[in-house]
Amino acid sequence: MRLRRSTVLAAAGLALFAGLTGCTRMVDGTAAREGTGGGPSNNNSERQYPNLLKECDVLTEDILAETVGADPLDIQSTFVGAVCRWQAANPAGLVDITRFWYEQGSLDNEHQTAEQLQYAIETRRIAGVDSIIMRPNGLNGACGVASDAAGVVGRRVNPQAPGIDACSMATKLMELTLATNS
Amino acid sequence: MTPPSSTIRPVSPLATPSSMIAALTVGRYSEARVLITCSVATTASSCRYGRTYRRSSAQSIQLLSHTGPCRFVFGHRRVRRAERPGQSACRWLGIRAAATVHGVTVRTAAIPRTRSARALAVFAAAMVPVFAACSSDQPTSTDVPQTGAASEQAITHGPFFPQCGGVSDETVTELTEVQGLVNTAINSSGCQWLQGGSILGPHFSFTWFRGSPIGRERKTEELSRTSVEDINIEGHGGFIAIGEDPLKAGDVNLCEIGIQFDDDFIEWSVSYNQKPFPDPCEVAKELTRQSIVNSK
Repeated sequence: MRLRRSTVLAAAGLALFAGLTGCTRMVDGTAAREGTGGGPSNNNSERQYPNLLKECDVLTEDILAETVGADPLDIQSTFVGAVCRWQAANPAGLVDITRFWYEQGSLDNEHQTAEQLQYAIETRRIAGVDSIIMRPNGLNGACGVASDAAGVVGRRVNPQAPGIDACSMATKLMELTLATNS
Repeated sequence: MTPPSSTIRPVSPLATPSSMIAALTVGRYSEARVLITCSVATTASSCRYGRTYRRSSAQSIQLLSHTGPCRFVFGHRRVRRAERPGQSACRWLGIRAAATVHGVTVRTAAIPRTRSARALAVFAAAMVPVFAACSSDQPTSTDVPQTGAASEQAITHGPFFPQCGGVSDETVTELTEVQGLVNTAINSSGCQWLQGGSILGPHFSFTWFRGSPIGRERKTEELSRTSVEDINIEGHGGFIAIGEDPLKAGDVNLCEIGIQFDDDFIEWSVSYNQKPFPDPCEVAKELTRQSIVNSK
């Protein structure tokens, strides 16, 4: 029995429609030519450190919260962009987390800035990447880490109460940030 | 920038009408996803701090995505995950590669009509090459643009800004007219003042971006704020962005000022959540002015 022509046409039309649309995906945003994004950038870093270019969500908030000893539900973003901030509730006190990514910056410049701010500075390699540990004086043991990757990228942990090991938390967050495909 | 705030309006998942919509979305940037349920109340869900944004990549900064996990606030200090605002309250079944899209056996036992069965067979046969034609390739190293890294020699940093832009807690308290502020995030990226140290009140912050394009931050503001205009303070140019209270159109409760210094910029963010409060832009302008004057 022959299929009705309309059925065949309908199927063909549907197939054509699916063919035209099936492999596409809507992406939020405005079209832009490559290189018109507001300045040069370290495109190579996308390959070397695939997690770096996702900015504030490079690590999920669950991971952030757990790393600073908070319930995964007790975290809230407070600032977004090239600098991201969150606040999480560690049982010992609130903890502010900062992530920064200065793609045109450098570890040297961060080192120099930390010196001018009179922070204690320690040089270290984290996940095989040249890094510095920065400790402002006091501030409940607040601690920051900057690493020489994709410009310069870093994590900072500011506890609102003493007794929280901010440096190990910041270092752990940096290790996770620098996680590579290899 | 401070995540834009919006209203709290819970959405019950029980009220979700489900629909079966197959959406094959595969290719260079995505994984295949099949929409299995979807709520019509796509924009109703929100949270205390509302949506957050991120730039998608270094070379396409105009691309913004709603990425902020949005949470409801239940009682004191307890925040819970909710649906993301601005997106459909949908559940997606993720499929990493088109190659894993399996054929689906559709049971039509209740309608044993030969014509329908044959039409279905024709349809299925027609769709096979369509599905198969979709690339399942994940991005490979060769897909990454090779346009070269930024040359450090080409970067010029601006002046040094003392801790918190050289602005004391007392000055912030005085200018913002908010009591009980706690400086919760003092570090070399800036400072953040929250009432009682908690996120539940007003928000003020100073941020120093060293080697970060101000244009991207401005674009983010332009896509999310009520208005963004040029401003010049103490001879330095930048942008001033204002945001309105989502509950009361016309009530400006947020003002952010970014000022460029070569390849660096600073940003003061002033955001109130409860009246009465002074003109947030006047507060931001004065804080910015003092930071510029304090720079070395």
